Amino acid sequence: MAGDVARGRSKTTFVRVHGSELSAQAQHEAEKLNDDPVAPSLKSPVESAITLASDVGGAIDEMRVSPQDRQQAMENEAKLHEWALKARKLAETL
Amino acid sequence: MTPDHMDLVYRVLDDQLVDVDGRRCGRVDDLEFDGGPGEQPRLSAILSGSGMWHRRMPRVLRTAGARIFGTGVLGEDVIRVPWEQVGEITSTIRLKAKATELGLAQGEEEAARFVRKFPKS
Amino acid sequence: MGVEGQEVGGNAVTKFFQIALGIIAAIGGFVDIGELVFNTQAGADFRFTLLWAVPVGVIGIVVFAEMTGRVATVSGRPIFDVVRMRMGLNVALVTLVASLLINLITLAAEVGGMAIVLQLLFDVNVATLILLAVVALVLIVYFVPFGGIERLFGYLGCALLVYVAAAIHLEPNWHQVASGLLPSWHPSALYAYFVVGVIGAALVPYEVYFYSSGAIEDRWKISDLNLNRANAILGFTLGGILSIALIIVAAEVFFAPQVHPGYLGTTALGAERAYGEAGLLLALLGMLFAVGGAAVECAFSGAYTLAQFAGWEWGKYRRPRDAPRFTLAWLIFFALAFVIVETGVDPVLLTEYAVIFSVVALPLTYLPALLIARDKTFMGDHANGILANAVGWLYFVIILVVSVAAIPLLLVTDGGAV
Repeated sequence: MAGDVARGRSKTTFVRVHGSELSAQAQHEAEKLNDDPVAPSLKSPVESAITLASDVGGAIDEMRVSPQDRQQAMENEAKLHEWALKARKLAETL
Repeated sequence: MTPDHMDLVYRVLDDQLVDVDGRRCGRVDDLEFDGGPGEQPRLSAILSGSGMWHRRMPRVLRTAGARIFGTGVLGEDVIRVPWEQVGEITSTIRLKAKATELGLAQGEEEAARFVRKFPKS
Repeated sequence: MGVEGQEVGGNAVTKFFQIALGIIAAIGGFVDIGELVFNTQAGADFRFTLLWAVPVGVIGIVVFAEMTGRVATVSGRPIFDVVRMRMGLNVALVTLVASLLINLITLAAEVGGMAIVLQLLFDVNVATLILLAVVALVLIVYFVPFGGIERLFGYLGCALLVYVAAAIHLEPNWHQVASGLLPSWHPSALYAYFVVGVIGAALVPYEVYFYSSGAIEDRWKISDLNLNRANAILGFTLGGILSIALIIVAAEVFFAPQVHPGYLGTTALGAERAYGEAGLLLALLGMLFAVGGAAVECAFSGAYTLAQFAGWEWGKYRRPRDAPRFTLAWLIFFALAFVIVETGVDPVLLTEYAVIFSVVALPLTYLPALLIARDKTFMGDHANGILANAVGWLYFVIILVVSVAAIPLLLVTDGGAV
C-alpha cells in the first residue's frame, strides 16, 4: 500500500480506511504480545516484536494522516520493508 | 404409476398441492385411510399442515416436534382435503377447488393482510 | 446466476444475444465473498499450487447447476421441492434448517462485505453503511423485476474482470501457473483446508437453489434446455476464470512478501498493484456488485427453500401480496443479517465459516438432485445419459470426501490461521 501511495497510485479514502484496519491489527498484535505471559528466555524477542508492531502501526498512521505525501510514503515503504524482514528473521529464530 | 397401482409414498406423499387456479397451497404432509381391521383400506383424504410433521419424526423427537410445529389440530395446523378433491397427479397434486374453499389459504391470507400495506404490493 | 428466459422465438440472433447476455451476467455473478476471501488467501499462502482446486469446484457447480436447471425445466420442480419429495420430511427438514442457518451466515457475510467495500470507497461509519447496504438491497429486490436484478448485479460485477487483466499484466511464470492447474498435494492440514475452501467457495448450495428456482421464475421451457446448458457450462466456466485470476494476482502480489490477506482491502490491493487507482476502483466496484448480487441470491435462496419445503406460493414473478409468506421470508432474512452484522462480527470470519459449513451440508442437496436427474419417470428423454451419470456420481464422491474433511480441517487449522 505504501508503495502505491508513494507512486500516487492509490485513493485517499482507501488508504485511510484500509490503513486503519492494518494499523489496528498491528496495535492488537502489540497488545497481545504485551499481555501474554512469556518465558524469561523469550522476553527480549517479544519486546523486539512489540517495538516492531508499534513502529509498523505508526508508519501506517502517518500515511493515513497525509495520504498525498508521496515522499513520506516512499520513506515509510522502505522502513516497512525493513521491518517486515526483521519480523521474518525474528519469527524464524523463535 | 399404472391404472391399477400407484406408489403413494413416491408420487403423492410430500408432493406440492396446487389449487384449481394454479396457486401453490401446501404439501401432502400425510394421508388418511378409511377402513377397519379386515376391511379394504381406502384412501380418503390428504392431510396438509405442519401439525402432521411430528408424527413422522423419530420417536425421541416427537414431543419437541409437536411443541414446535403443532400437535395436529384439524382446522388449525392441519387441513383435511378429501381425496375426491384431487383432480390430477403430475409433478404436483392438482386440486379441483380453490385453496380458499378448501381452507388451505389461511397462512397466506394472514401474511397477505400485512404485505398489502407495502407500496406496489 | 440465471438468465432472462423470455419466450424464445425462432429468431436465432435474439437467442444468441440472450445466451451471451446471460453468460455475462453469470460471470459477474459467479464470484462472491467466499472466492474473494479463500482464493486470495490460497494464492498468498500457496502461490499457484491450489489453482487445480478451482476447476474441480467449477466443474462441480456446472454439473450440479445444469442438473437442477434441467430438472426444474422438465419437471417443474425446483431443487428443494425435489429434496422434500425424494428424501422425505425428516431429511428435508434437517437440510432446510442447515440451509437456512448457512444462508443466513452467508448473507450476513455478504452484507458485511458490501459495507466494508463502501467504507473503502467513501470512508463513512460502517454501521451506517451496513444499514445503507441492506436498505438498498431490499428496495432493489422489492421494486426491480427478477431479470433486471440479475442484469444489474451481473453486468456491474464484471468490473472484477480487472483481475483477469491484472493476472496477465503481472506477467506470472506461466509454466508454474500451468503446473498449478495439475492436481498436486502438499502434506499439510492448511493446504487441505484451502483445497476444501476453494472447492467449497465455488460449489455453494445457495447458488444452486437460486439457479434452479430461477429456471421456474424465468419460465424456462423444454426449448430452453440448451440455454440452461450454455448458461451453466459457459457462464460458470468463465466465472471460474475470474476465480483463477484472483489466485494468480494474490500469488504475484502477496506470496513473496508473505502477506496473509485477512481483509477485503488487501484483496483490492492486488488490482491496485497492476493498474493503480483505476484498478483499485474497478476492483471495489466489481466487489460491491458481485457481493451484493450474492447477497440477493442468498436472501432469495433462503426464502425459496423455506417456501418450497412448506409448499407456500413463491416467486419474484408473483406480486408480493400473491406470495406474501415468501416476501416476508426474504425481508426477514435481510433484517436478521443486518442484526448479525451490526454486532460487529468480522465478515471475513463469517465467510470462512459459511463456506466450510456449506460444504458439510452439500451432499444433502446434491444427492436428491442427482437421483431425480437420472430418473426417467420424471425426466423422460431428458434424464441423465451415461456420461452425465458417471460424472454425477464421481462428483458425489468428491463432495462426500470434501464434506467429511471440512470440519476436522477447520478445527485443526484454527480456521486457516495455522
